[in-house]
Amino acid sequence: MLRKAIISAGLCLSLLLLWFAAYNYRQAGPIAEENLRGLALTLSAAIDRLAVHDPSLADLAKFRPPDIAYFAMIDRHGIYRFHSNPDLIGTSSGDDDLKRGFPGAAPTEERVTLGTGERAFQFTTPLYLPSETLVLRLTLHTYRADSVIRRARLNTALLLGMLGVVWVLIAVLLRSARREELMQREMTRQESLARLGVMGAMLAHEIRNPLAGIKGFAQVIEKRPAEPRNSGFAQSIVAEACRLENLVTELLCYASSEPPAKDAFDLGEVTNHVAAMLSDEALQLGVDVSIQAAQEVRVWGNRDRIEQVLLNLGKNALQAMPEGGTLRWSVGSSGKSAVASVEDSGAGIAGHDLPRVFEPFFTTKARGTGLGLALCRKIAEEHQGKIQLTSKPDEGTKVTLTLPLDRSGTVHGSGR
Amino acid sequence: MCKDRVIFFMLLTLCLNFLAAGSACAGFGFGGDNLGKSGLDFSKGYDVNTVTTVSGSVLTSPRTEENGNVFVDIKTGAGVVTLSVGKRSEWERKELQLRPNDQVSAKGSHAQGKDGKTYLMVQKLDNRSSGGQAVLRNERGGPAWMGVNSGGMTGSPGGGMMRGGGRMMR
Repeated sequence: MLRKAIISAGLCLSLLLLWFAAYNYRQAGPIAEENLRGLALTLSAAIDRLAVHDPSLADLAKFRPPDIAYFAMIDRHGIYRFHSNPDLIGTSSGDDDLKRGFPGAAPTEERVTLGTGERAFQFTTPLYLPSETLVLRLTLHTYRADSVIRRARLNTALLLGMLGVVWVLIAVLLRSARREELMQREMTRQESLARLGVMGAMLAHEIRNPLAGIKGFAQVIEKRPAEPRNSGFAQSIVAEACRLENLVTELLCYASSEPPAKDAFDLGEVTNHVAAMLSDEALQLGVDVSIQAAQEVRVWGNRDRIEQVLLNLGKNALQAMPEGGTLRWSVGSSGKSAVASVEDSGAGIAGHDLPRVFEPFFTTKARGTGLGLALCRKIAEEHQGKIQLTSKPDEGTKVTLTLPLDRSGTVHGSGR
Repeated sequence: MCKDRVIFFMLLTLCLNFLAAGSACAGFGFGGDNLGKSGLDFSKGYDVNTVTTVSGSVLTSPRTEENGNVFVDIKTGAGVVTLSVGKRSEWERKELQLRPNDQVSAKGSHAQGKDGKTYLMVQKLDNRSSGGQAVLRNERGGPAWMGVNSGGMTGSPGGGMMRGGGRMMR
């Protein structure tokens, strides 16, 4: 939440800075034009004064401020009466627009490209001399005035560059924080696993052995009860002892840190085997079972453990459909991974429970241990695979197990 | 994780690319075309409107820069002016020696580049120290290295000679 707020604030600030940079850049052009216009008006006034004081216009030849590219005075016939290049005085300006209509009182201005390739600012204004009216064409260099545009461009580029760098840094920091968070989560999980391991060992020693004795004696009593009603009690003791034994076994398995022995095997074949094991139970519950399995989806792992995962998933699916439904098994491959999925049409899992389903000891069943899915995830991760669960209440649940394919594995499609 | 890394590097590459583009822009907009950092057309450009004569002392020996053109800096009363004396081959053919501190006089079309320097596209150059002289363009700016009939002599715009205020931009 805090991270999202910081990113949103950063985005808002970036947008504000971008708007500021764009605004600043857009304002630079008109400011440069205004500077050039002011300069042109000042120079026009100076030229006007010189022309009034010296009707021969000879003094104008010495008037060469550095900002002027050239200037000229043209009469009604389009002849240069004065030009900063003296060779052109008396020649035709060749300006057809001027011949068609002498400009009015309002000066005009535009950016032009000179024959040299230079971009210049051209200012044209009527010049009212005592004897006649001429047109003053003043062309200015723009380098100094355009410094505003260059500075704005530089500032914009620097601002955008800095924004880019800041966002890259933010991305790096966020990524590091995310990795650290994941690492800490993993460390916490490993620590809890270690604690479970110690507890499991203790359970094995302190509970399992006495439990075996209790179970054995109860079985004896069940077969030869002193009183007929004791047979039922003994049955209950045996059933509860079996459940406790199962819990201890799962706990030991979950807490075990011993790496499983691995070999290549066909995931489709294991799935078929598990489906066959559960077929009687499915039949009793009125569940329709379908299998869609590709042939020879060979994975690298421990066959027994994967079978245990699929068995757990299958049992969970059947338990979710006490009044019948549909159970779909599918096995295939995607890229470098084998994918097995178990889909039921049962009661589904409530949205708020979904994030916790793989946590140890979390269960929604009255007599569940809460270790089944946790164990499935542990086994999947031991095989460099992953397990994902999607569910919608009253629609069903789909669990997908992804495992790395055996390097020599092949896939051929078939369905049943 | 691998996908994240690819996205991160793509993002980084984009940012670096953007920064590189930004740096180019930060160079006051130079270098965006094939005219070099001055933005002037030294090969064919000339404008009779801006023709002037400058005099001064040579600061540097001739050097070849933008698009094989030869340049010489001279110090005048109004500051440093860079003379553009045409293509290297044509300049060598003229056999006009210019050494630092030589007093020269040059006539040509002056222009201000995007780099802020003042250039003169020389039509005629006179080395008053050695007495040598070179005509590099015709009177209307047609460069000698573009052929005899180049420039305004035939009325074609080959020399880039401009009258009437240049090409309008808008």
